[in-house]
Amino acid sequence: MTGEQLLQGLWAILPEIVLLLLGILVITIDLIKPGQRKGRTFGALTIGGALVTTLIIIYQAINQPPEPVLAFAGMVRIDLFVQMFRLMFSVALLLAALISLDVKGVKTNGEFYGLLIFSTVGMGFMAASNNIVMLYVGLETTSIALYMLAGFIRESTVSTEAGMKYFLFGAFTSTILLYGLSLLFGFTGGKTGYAEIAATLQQLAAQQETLPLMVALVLIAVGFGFKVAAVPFHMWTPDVYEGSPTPITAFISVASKAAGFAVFIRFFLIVFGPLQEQWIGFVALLAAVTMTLGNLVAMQQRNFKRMLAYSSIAQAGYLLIGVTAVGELGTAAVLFYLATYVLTNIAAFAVAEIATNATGSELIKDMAGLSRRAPGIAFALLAAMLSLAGVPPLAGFFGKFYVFQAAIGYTNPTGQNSLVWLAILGVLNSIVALYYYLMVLKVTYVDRAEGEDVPLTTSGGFKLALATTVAGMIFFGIFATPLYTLSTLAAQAVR
Amino acid sequence: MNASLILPLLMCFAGALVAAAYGWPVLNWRVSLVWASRVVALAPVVAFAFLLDIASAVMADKPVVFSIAWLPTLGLNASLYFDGLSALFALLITGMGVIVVIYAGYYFSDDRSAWRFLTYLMLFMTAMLGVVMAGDVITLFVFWEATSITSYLLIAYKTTDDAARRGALKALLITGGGGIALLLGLLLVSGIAGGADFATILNGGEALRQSALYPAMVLLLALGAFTKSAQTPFHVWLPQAMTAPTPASAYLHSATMVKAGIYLLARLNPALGTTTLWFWVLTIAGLTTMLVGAYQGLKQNDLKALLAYSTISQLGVLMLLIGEETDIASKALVIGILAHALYKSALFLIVGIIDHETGTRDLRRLGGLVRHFPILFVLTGIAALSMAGLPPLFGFLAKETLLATAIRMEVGPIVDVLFPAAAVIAGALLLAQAGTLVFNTFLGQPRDPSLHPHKPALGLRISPAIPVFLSLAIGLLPEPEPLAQLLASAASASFGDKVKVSLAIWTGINVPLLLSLVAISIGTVIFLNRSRVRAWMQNFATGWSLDRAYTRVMQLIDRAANLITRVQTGYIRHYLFIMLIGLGVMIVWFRAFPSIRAPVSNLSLGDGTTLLRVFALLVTVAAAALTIFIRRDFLAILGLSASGLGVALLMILEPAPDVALVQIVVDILSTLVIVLLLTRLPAALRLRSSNLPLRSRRSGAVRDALISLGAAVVVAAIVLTALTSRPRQSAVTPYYEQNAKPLTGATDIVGAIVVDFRGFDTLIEITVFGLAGLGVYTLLRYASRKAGDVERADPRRRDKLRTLGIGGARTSSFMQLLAHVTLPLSLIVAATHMMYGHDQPGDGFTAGVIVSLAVGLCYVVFGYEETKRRLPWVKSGYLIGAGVLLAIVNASLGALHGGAFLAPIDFGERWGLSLPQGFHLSTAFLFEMAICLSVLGSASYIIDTLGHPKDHDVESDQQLQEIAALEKQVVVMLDDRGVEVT
Repeated sequence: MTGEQLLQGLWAILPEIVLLLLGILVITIDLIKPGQRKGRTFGALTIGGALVTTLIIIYQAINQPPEPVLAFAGMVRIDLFVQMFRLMFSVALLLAALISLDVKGVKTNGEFYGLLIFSTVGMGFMAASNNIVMLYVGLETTSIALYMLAGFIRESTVSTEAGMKYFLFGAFTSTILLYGLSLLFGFTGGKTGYAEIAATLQQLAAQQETLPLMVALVLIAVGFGFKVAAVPFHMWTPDVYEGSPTPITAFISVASKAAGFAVFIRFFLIVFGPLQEQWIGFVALLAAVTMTLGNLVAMQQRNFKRMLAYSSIAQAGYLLIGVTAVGELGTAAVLFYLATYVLTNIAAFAVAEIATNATGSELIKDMAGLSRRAPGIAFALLAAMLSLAGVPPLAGFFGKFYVFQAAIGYTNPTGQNSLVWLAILGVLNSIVALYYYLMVLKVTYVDRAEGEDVPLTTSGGFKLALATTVAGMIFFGIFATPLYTLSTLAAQAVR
Repeated sequence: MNASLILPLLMCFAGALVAAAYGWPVLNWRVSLVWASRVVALAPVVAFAFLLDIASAVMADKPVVFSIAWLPTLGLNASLYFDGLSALFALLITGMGVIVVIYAGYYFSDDRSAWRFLTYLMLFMTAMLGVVMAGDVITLFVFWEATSITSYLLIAYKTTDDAARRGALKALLITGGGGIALLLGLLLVSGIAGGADFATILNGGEALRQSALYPAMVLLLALGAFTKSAQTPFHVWLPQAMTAPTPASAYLHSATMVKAGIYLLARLNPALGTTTLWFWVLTIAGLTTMLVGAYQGLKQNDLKALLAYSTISQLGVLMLLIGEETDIASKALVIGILAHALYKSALFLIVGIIDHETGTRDLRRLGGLVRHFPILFVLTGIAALSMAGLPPLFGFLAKETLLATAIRMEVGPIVDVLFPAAAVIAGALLLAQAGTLVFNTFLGQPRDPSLHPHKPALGLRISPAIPVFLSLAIGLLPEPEPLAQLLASAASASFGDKVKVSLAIWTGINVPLLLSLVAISIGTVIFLNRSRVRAWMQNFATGWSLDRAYTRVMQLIDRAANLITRVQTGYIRHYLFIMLIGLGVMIVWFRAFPSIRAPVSNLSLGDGTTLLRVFALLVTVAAAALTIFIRRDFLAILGLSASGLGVALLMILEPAPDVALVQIVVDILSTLVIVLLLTRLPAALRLRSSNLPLRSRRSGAVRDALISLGAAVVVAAIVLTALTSRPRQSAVTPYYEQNAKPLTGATDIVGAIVVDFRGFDTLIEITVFGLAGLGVYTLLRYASRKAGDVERADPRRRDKLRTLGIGGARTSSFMQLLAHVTLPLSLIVAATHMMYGHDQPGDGFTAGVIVSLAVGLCYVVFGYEETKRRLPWVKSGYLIGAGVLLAIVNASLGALHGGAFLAPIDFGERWGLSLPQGFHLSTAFLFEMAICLSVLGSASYIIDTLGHPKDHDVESDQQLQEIAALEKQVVVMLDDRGVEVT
């Protein structure tokens, strides 16, 4: 490796380097600073660092060369697709840090912010990975930090339980994933790079020798399915979402899911591209089962965070429709959907935290009267719920719009469209979903509660996060073009 | 002029802003709502005037289009489209809007917070106007959903009323859900037509009708339109939405919103219509709705419910008309839309006045109101005549054209008769409804003497008079030319070709007139016997209603959801089980198994060591099985260890002596660690768990066995697949075989890999291993010391500890002797491993582990304190540090002398030292030493931490108590299966 290559490589992973240094800085300060003087130092550092990282990513994305940058002997690959995911991660980090500033048990804890940053670093490497070893390292960096974060509030039994369950389930699926990766490694005669594996698979597919590969594919799908919370690998989701500190739930539900989709898309489109005909039906089935189950069970939930957990499972199902509709349109739809989903879900969880703080309960019915206690927060909830339900003119509408359109516009190699059924199922599901999203709004806007004339005060962090996300939801709900253009460019960069 | 199309929308939106501004306390207290509403009403007035002005321009069938780029990447524009059909609806919306806004001002005159109502109303008006003026399907959809939401706000306006909230939610669920179906339908349409704008879609009719997706398209669009326009069975939301304040009912649920579905289908009719499917879908829905509405309406006691059902009936008629493909049907359609909007809104407004002034709208309490409201009575009478379809009102014309359409049907013998018959029956029922409305409300004796009607304000009375007057005027005036032209233009737009509309009431004696007479006669008979008919209807089939069906469907979804929810037990074992089932299903899905069959023969089994291999396998499996069945934990651990040794044996036979060696030492080390851990558990806990029954239930044991078997089969399948599918020739082995000696000077390939080829990995690896030791120490000792736990053993026991082994057990002198001998011996073995690791099995790692094992033996035999005293040189932290430091220094030596980090250098050769045969004083040796040091440090850290005596463990005591409590519960549960025991 020449010096020039090294420099180019370091420049390529600059956002991760910055975040890594930031994480180390946060933890070091946590070690040396006396306990009572810590205050909001770490939150402010994290927010500032995330902001700087976001700017770096934007700068890099603008100056992105048309050809992907392969760094460190092809271990990582930086293109617009990766940049867009990095952007989502850093924005998610920023927002998660913002809504952590006033959460009891985590707000002044340096370790908390440090882990949050480290998991973001892992996500960056997940998205940028171009090699199965890199992929696994990135995945584990992300996951291990998140396991700890999920169980961060050690005094709370639900939080500990969440951390433990997340860890056990994650360790299990990650083993299965590793098994799949090693099978792939073996079948291809010791290849680890995506492109090399894909080339070998192409030959094998030409020789009709794909069956053993399907075992590897299934095992790998389990690992990715866990990350994106697809049925039947979703079982951890409600318990972990309910138990984790709310900012972490928000972060897992958006950033970790986005990272899962980043590798899912890369891997299935590039590495398993030659096997496309074999897996498309299977991923379609995964999408169908995921959204149906997620929506049906979400209706039953009384706890807001649990409801959002199942809603996020259902959203993974819609996103999988976009993955199934292989191609530029489908990928762009997933990217757009994810970007808006980052804003929407963080807003929803922020409101959940505010309501829980105010009432001491996570139940939906106890959110009654919120619209009179805090009209602004209730409005943020309204926007988030309607956006999740896909109602215009909010960003979520275009997410659904593009995904369904991709499914309708998809044609398989024989020139037929085989995914309309999936789009129709998606629509039926969206109708069911409307029910529980509206129920929340009904409770907050219409139902009466005692003490509803007591105004609810919220801290600046929450307000800023909510204002940002709501503005984003409305802006991208009306002017979807810039984001969609970016998504399309990013989708073009996948191949 | 095209850009000015946006003006009406902006005006209405501005109206909403003005209404919202009125919520500002300063204004709110100074200006009365009546005045505020008049100001707000200016917005629709201007919009109406403007629309009227441009409407004359589109009479010539040239639609006005205005579009701005919205999502250029998708070729999507936000566009407006204005032709005859849009004009008809837009004029209705703004015209009725003016009346309703002013009416609302009076209706809410004593409620100053009603500015919210006005705001919502104006927002709704904007959205509704957007629907009918949208130039492409996406814009239409956006406004469509906006009407659903704003109408929700209007219906739920009376937030204190529980019925209002439920009604509003139901309305939003059904119309909003239908809206999403509509989105997909519209996406399909625009995808196939090649564009989202109406011009493209209307030109792409041929492609649309021939598409394979045509049925899906029609059904999705119909679902959207039917839910919005309250077609059976989706009509259930409309009567409940009547909990809205009356101005909203009059506006949304008669004149405007419910006609959005009609508008959409009429708009798309030229592109999608003329097929059999289209005809049947719309006809069946329309016909059913017409009859259901007419029948249900007559039995209602609530005036608004009565009007709601008659609206449903009329919507059915309109839907039916879109399905026909005759020009007269589209003529009947536009006349029907206008006539219905006029008389129905008037009736709603009047009912609102009655409700407002008497406090009730129950037919059982009203009566004789003519004495109080004579003018209202006249207005109601005229509007009701129109509703009943009697001359000389506009409604008569609507009914005549409907009947004319009905008799023109040419489908089949039965259907041809069925249509006119149904139309006649519905007409008769509607007439009876209209009669009931007028007579039971205004005539006869007051049924409830407690009612004291107030006199309504003038503004309230004028509002319904306008549509009534228009109804009458259109019927009486000879051919109002501009109106006829507008209607003709609208009809053409929905028909797709020129339609001539004549508004003459009298067309001579013909079949429709005769049918009309039949309908009037039957209707009159029903009306005269209305009390009996209504009583019979109200008792007939009361147990069955669509509303109940809605509830049923909701319950069904709920139950299904509940069923699935039960899977989420909270037990991680169930979660993993479900995941494994999913994995199994996926493997079956891909039929990945058959691939294994063929190449199994490739596996070579026959050589001299087969017997030994089988033996090793048996040892492994049997020892693993023992760990399950043996009760004593200590023995189970030994079983586990034996199983690991069996694996080592297999590896020796492979032959892979290096791997086998590592396997053996690590196996023993982990056994040692588990044994040390056991000593930290309270004896009571251990005793208890060894006495627990293996399984309380047989079914559980069977289940576990099945899961294990399943897992075994899956893993075996995967292993077989892997073994038989991998490339015959390894890509890496030949490379190492060829290059190990020349490049590194090592004949042991594993050794070469560890210290040279992957030397950097090893360097990081020993760091990690060191960290692991530190981690164990930190978690178990440092943390507990920080938390203030007892650090030192009881001083009185200290002396005893010298003679006692770990955990206070007595050790024999033979054991002590053994421990004395083992340690020096292990050091010698370790030294040879390090010295000759490059050419023979064994390396720094095994050396480190072997020494740590000997140290561990000392802990076991002599106990913690004594070992600390005897082995002062085992300073774990320093050892780790020394190891890592040595590794780095050594690697840097390579950089200094060999040209690269970690480059191999043989110092012995370089300096000409005479060394024992086969031993090279090289960087490799130093590296092995570094590995040995750090491994020893880390392992001894772990052993030291685990071997540290602990007097009293609060946590495990607590755990024991919890378990005891749990066990009590278990007993109760087990008893439950037989007899109830508390």
